[in-house]
Amino acid sequence: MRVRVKDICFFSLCLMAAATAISLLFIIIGYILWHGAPAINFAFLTEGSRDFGAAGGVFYQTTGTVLLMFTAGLIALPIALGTVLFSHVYLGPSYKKTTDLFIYALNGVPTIIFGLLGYIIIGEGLHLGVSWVTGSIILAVMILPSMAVSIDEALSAMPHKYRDAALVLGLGRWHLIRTLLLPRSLPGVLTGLFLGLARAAGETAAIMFTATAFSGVGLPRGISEPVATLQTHILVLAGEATNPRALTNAWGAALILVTLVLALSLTAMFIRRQVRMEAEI
Amino acid sequence: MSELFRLTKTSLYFGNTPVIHEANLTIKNGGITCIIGPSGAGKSTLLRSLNRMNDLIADFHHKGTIMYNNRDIYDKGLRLEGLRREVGLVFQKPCLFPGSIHDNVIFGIRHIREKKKEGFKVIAERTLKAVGLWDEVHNRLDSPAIGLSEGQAQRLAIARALAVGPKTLLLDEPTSSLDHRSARAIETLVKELGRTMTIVIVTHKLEQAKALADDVVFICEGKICEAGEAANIFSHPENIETRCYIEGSPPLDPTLPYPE
Repeated sequence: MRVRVKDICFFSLCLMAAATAISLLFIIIGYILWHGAPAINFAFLTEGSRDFGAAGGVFYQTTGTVLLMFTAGLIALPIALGTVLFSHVYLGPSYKKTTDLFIYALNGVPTIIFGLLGYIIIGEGLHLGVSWVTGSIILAVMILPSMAVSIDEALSAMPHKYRDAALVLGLGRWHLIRTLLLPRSLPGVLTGLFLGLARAAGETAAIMFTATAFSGVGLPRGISEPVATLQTHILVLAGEATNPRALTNAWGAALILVTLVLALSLTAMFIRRQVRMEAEI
Repeated sequence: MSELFRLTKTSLYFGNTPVIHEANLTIKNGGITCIIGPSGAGKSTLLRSLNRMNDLIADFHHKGTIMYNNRDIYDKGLRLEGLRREVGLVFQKPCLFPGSIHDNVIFGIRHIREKKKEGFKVIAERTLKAVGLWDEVHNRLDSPAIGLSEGQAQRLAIARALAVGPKTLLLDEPTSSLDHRSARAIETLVKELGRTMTIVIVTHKLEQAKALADDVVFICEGKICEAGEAANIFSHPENIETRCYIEGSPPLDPTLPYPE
């Protein structure tokens, strides 16, 4: 009887925790939708902002966010893939554990530190300033661990018998990578890429110092120019705008950003689910 | 016949545990050599050491020398990939890659330029015919290999190993997971292959060893108890452990023909 009571209590606690988490997500999305939806129209999506965000749209900011996000992804992906393949193919198990430790440690660094270091080392040290390229490099470093972990999971899930069956045929390490590991890690690569992009899209602190400017910025003409982003746009409007119209536009920008992040996360989840289903076959 | 492998004071370890202890052994070039012995004796470990497949296991290390064609297989100048292409190995359980039957056969040669010239389809047909699988699969070469039966899968695994063009084929209990009929098909195939290449096969089925072997290596508790011509060992085993092991099974009847 006492065991049964404990079971019920534990079940209720878990249910409450799950309900809190899910309802929080719905409350946040609902709140953003409620306040941001009035701002969304064709002009808002296709025009640049005017009057310090009180008029116009968020075309430059949306484009800037996507540009930063994809450039960061392009930089991070080969590094993450290379790191994981190197640790899987060339390193022994003990060295692999050390590499994994570094990757997890990198994941735990506060994003503001990345921003500060990026500003000092890349922006000032390499004279790249506040620019598209500086922000992309910093975001790439930030999303590198989540990409690496995702690719590593995909490769670790592959039974050793496949590797043995390939190596026993006299395949070299490069051929092992090309014929077996790369095709096998593709779903993990895609999952990691989308999760990384979602994280990059949502990041504000790191790019505040390194990539973005609020006003007077359109589309960048080169990688050394700053970009406007949705994140900074929302931050500045929410903190400084006095015009109610500007605040509504900030909510509109938030709605676009949340939609972007959710779409990327859902895509990553979908791919991961497909991978699991294939692994179970 | 010349010697193909020579093991001198070879010990094989997983961690600190010796699985094979100071083995001295010669395996002849050509014919079929069967490695027999009770479970856990170290048969598979010994077999896998001949093309350095044990190296993939984290805590494996060895002592002594293993010579292949008069060359130390741990020589720094030796290309491991080249050794494994010359000394193929088929595992106990067939491991087929996701993909078609054709893709599986040519998996090991897709990157070899010289093989490309000959044509993958030609090689696939030749090796599938060699393992007696061509008639069963020729009209579904592009179908997933995963649909094959266990016996067919094992023959496909042998075809995949043969496609690389090895001079020696190591077989690690290739029939242990197969039904009687499939096992017979593999045994016939091994007998056939043994006429043109060196086969080293691990088996715990004494009847199989009797039917196939030209030479026999008997291992017990990590030691090579006896090695030599199959007929001699099965009829007059010198070592007491070999005798006990062999007498535990029906005696060899050399008058019985090999079932085709």
